[in-house]
Amino acid sequence: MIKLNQLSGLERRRRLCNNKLALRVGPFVYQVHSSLLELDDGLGTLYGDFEVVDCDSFVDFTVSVKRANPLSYLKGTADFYFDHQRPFTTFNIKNAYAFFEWGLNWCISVYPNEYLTLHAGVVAKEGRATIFPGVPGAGKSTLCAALGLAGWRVLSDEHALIPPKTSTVVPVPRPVSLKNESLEVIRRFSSGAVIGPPSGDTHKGRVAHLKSDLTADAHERNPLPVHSMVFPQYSPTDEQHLSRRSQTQSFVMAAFHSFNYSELGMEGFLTMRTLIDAVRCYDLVYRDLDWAIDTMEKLNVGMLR
Amino acid sequence: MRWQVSKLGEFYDRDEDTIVYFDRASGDTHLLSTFAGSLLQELGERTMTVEELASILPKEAAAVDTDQFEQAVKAVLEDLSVLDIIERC
Amino acid sequence: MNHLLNGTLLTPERAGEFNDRDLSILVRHARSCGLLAALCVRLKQTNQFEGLPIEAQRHLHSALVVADKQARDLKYELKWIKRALDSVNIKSVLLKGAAYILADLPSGRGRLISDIDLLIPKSKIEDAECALKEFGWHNGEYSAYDERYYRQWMHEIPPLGHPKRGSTIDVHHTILPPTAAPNVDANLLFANTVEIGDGLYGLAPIDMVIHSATHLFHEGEFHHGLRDLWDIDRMLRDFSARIPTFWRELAPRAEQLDLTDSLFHGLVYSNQVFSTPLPNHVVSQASNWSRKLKKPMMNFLFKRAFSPDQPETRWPLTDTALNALYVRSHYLRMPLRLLMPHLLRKAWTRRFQDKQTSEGITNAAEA
Repeated sequence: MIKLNQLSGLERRRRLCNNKLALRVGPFVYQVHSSLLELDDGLGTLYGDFEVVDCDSFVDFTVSVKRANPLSYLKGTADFYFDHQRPFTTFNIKNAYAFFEWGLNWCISVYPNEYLTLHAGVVAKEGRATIFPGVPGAGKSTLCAALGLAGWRVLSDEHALIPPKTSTVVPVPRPVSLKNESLEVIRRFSSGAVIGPPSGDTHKGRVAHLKSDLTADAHERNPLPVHSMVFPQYSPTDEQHLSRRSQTQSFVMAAFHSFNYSELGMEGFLTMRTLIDAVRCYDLVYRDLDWAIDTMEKLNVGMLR
Repeated sequence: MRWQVSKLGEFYDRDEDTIVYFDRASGDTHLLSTFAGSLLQELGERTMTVEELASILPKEAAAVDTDQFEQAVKAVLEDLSVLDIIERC
Repeated sequence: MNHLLNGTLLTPERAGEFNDRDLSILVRHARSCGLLAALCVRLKQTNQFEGLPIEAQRHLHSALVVADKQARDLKYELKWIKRALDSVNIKSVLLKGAAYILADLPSGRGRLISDIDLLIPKSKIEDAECALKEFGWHNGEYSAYDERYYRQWMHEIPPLGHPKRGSTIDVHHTILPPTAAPNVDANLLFANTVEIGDGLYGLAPIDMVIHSATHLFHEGEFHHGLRDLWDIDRMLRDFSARIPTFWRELAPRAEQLDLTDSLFHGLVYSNQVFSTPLPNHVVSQASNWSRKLKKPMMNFLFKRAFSPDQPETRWPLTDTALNALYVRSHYLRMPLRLLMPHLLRKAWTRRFQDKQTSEGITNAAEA
């Protein structure tokens, strides 16, 4: 098995430019293509530990980021391509890296239906996984990032892939996306945080990505049992607490934040029922990351109920 | 007037205030009160009138008289029909 | 014309010999043409699916999940559409994908649809619109221009959307806009409709084929070209096997409807791309007909429309060809003086909207 950081920078760039670079991301293989330096930089910084796959193997998603035509050199724009077609509108080239990462997410959000796909961060310790369903802005990415830097395994900050009728989750590790203040929070939290190319004025403000495949088992592919489902909420004012929440309400909330719950119909319901029935659901209100990590540690070893 | 469920769906019930109900016909998932859930379970057995339903369901609070209880059942049935979970027959 | 995708759709047994690279190209091509679910159905029908590597299976399966979901939703929506139209005594007649799915035709299995097309007699279109609105469908926000365009020149009222369920209905009163050169008598179509579901109707099989071909060659949806041609191939094979008089009645019916050109286009290209078997008398009719056409030009255009727009199959100048077809199909159905302002307006509006929604990616990327 070859990792991306085993290729020389030149070789990496050559493959990236010539559409000869394929990377394994959890259960998927992406073939990536770009001649933009930002992309090469980002891949070099953040994807060093990802497995490089032979381009003749099965490729799930073919993506590229490139300038659509000569005019885009003048305008300073680029496009994201999926299957050689453009699903999004043109963007400023300064944001190329952020759009690349969003594009990779988009592929998983839209196409695979062999899993129930929740919009959620997923972390694990001691082989037990916790799902953080995503209410945008609630602070799930910040929490994933901090836990990752504190020794937890980050399975994803965006997608919980649940195989049908199981209470397990399939890892799909990628860099964690951090926005605005959380970027500063994480920099302060750990001086050793490896952060990729920043993007300027996207619709989400400033965005950059954190290398989060830091544990030895980061790229292992076996599903992990889900231990709990925690709905995090960052709040600078409320009292910090972890409390049990209704299982049935959590069911509906997680379904609402799923990418394909309704596509799966009855199977979606049955899978969600199996999952929710096997886990305990909590609200976590936090402002201090150290407290939140400590609480998650205790929850994970059964010291909290 | 009788009410019916054309095809009873799937439940997720954890003895909480609410239950989750999956409607096979529409493919929609609903969060319902436990009371609405038990009413739905009964209708899954056979079609019923408000009065029949009120007579077999346990009254939630002892103080409620039959008339009030029937009104409550009727209101829930109306809600369920707006959600297209049940219908008049 | 033979490429990976149409070859495999026709002869799914070929898939067993493909290596991983072939399979990922096949999946990508099928996905880009909206034919991945249809391909999955074909592979399952021929018992080829189970033998494929899991990597390919799961993409095929994922696409079928979406098609199945659409078929379930369609049946649920139809229950409400029927109720709405019954309330004003209008027969629900379905067109295209919705009809194929409901009638469980081979062209309906794995077929994706983006909206539900209904055919309503012109005199009853206002009643139908009111009834559907009563049942929760709404006209979206349309500019006065679009509104006029739809109502006056197209054969449609603006699409009706259901805000809660997200379904879209397109109401047509004929299968071509009144401004198009051919003169279709919609009454002929209504007279032959057949029941395809509980109290729901579709066009007669022969009319279905003619309409499908007409739609393909008049509506400008060439980015779905291959998929629409696949519909035609499936229908031709299915109907001709089940209806003894099919081939004898097909061309005369098209003539009666003034849609001979569209039908022969459909037959010729279906035969070229999917080797659809045509009886000798139809072949000779078609070749007589094609001699009267400016054929080289058309071939140049259509070859591109019926190939996946992918690097392995892309012909030079594909974009130009697809745009030319788009212009052509508007040309076919609108007098020229109407055509020019509309296309200009369309291009302009699109550019303007792009500007306005330069953050358009937001939802797409977050979704």
